Amino acid sequence: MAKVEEIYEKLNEAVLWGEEEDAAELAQAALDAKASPKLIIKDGMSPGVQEAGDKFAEGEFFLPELMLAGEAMKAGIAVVMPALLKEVEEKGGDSRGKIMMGTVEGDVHDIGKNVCLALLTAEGFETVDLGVDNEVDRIVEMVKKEKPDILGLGSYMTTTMVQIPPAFDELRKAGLLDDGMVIFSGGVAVNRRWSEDIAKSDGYTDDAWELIRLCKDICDTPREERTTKAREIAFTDRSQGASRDTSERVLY
Amino acid sequence: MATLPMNEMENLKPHEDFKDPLEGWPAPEEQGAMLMEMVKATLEKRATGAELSRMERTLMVGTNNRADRIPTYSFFTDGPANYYGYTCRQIEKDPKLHAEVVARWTEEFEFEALGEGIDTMNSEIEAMGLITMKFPENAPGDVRIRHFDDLSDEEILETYEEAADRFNPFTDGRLPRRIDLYGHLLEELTQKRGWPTMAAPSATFAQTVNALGFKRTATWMKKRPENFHRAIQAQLKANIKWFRALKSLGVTFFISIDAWNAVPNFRPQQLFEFEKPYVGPLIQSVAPTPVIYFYWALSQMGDGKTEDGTPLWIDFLERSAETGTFVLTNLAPDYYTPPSNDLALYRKTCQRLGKSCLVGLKDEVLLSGTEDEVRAEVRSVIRDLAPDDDGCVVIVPNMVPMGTPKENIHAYVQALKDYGTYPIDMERILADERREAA
Repeated sequence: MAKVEEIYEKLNEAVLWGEEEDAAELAQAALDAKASPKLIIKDGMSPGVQEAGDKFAEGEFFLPELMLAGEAMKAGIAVVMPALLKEVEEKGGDSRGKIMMGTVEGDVHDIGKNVCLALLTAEGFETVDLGVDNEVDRIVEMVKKEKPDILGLGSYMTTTMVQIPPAFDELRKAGLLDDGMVIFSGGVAVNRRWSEDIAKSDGYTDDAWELIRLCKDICDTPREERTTKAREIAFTDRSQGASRDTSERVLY
Repeated sequence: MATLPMNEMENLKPHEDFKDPLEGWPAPEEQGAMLMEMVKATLEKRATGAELSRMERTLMVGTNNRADRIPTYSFFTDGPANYYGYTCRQIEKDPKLHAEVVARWTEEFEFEALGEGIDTMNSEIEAMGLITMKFPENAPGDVRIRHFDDLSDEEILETYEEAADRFNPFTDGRLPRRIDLYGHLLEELTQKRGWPTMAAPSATFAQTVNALGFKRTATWMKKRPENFHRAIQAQLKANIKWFRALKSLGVTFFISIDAWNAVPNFRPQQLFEFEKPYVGPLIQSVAPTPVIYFYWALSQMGDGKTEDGTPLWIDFLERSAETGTFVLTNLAPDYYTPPSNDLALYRKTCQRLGKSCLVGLKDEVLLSGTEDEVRAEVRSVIRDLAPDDDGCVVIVPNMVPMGTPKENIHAYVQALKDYGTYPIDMERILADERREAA
């Protein structure tokens, strides 16, 4: 087995079992062995975190293991990122797209967002972590500054989901949705139907892997067609949405 | 040792040293004997067929005795505040108004009691100076800054222990406002109306996780378990002070709010190792006042069995019972998800373990269902719990989500009265089901 492949195997194991320090050391070892930064993420870390996700879905892993796997991957990515950015810069930039994610005001639950961002980063997207508990003004300011292709806002409590529509409205009013930026809503408090009808977002998903697929499809679409494409993918099958319908109710 | 930025906190009173408010109270055994006298009187009243009061129904729940009908409770005051036209922050800052909202909601919707709570999950660790909170106008407060984030492991542990030693719920942070709130609740509910007053402090495990952060918690559990045990022991010391402070005010019973003690947030084994040992001492610290301790996610135990053949979800219930909680919980989505959707086995297990059983109805039905759907859901739960012929069954909404139509809450309580009055009329339940199916 080639040396780099051996490192990948160990690196994937380190990510899978949430060994942060080992993941950072092995990522450095892969770089030292002249491996491509992108391949280190793709072959050396993504399979590990994907396996952690699979184990979580199967009930073998629980959130601590999933979170530590995400953290280990982040540690590895932090080591690889400077080389990756240098490579992208030298090639004239070939990031798959820029994704910004955060939670709305009052909501500090960030595990799901962190996992999504880590996976997106590993898949070659440029990611911007907006953090948690974001007031509308900060969201608008960060969108102006970062100009992402896709913005995802999450809520994990019914008490904070109501903060998503005003945030999107402000972005709309500021003309920041006019150039094809796609807006997503997510998190356990919201669902597909609410996202479409109430939040007026362009997409929704409750699954990190589906999010990656959506982001790839959207970013591969010409910018002016992205909103339509996103809505088509995310909302065509209404049966996937949960049964909650708040469209005719006043949220008190 | 690190110095925490306590001056960033809203302090309503100057700090004073803590003095145990239950010092000089009758021994728990003596209190228990008084409680049993009340239970005996209530059982005699029940035998006459008379309708029980909210307080008597609650007494039955706390001692695993069947009430006159299935009791119900509601939790958190953010929804009720909005329902009566107030923001979360308005009622949080005005204990008298907060108590009035609790009383109005309890009266209008006929819950036995409503557990207060706007910033429930974090106000204790805020008062200990471990976090700085953020308070949105119309949402529960949450962690803004976790002061442990930049400290070393040893600094965290020393600081945690010092904060727990220093903590006085009567003077620290914004807790004096909650003490004030309980004064108003006891006056409005218990003294004026004879209703129970439910105290809703946060649980030890939840606050430890919130103070440390999930990542540090998970890392310590995996690599430095002794650190987590030291941290939660410090938190337990502080929590016992808060629980005893609330008991000294005269509350009827406790629910201990904990959203973290659930699978898949943690492995069942992690909960057994790191959380469960600290529940019993907390409950014992206010004995014999009843304490509900909630657990979620029975369904996520899977289909497996222990070596002696006990289904894993039943094993989890058995271990939960060992904490001293007076109810065992089966909360949405567990009660309609296999294997824990076997409500007859669940009820039987509760009976075997001597605990009341509490089913938490799914929020979606209340929020988005029709009145008929709400009614059908309550009916099906009562049907599946059958034979409900002994011990105490409680049905509650997991929570009443903001935006729930009031008609649905009325339909929910009416369904409990119609189908949950003893003796349970199974023929009526089945006949109504058949009629609606047709």
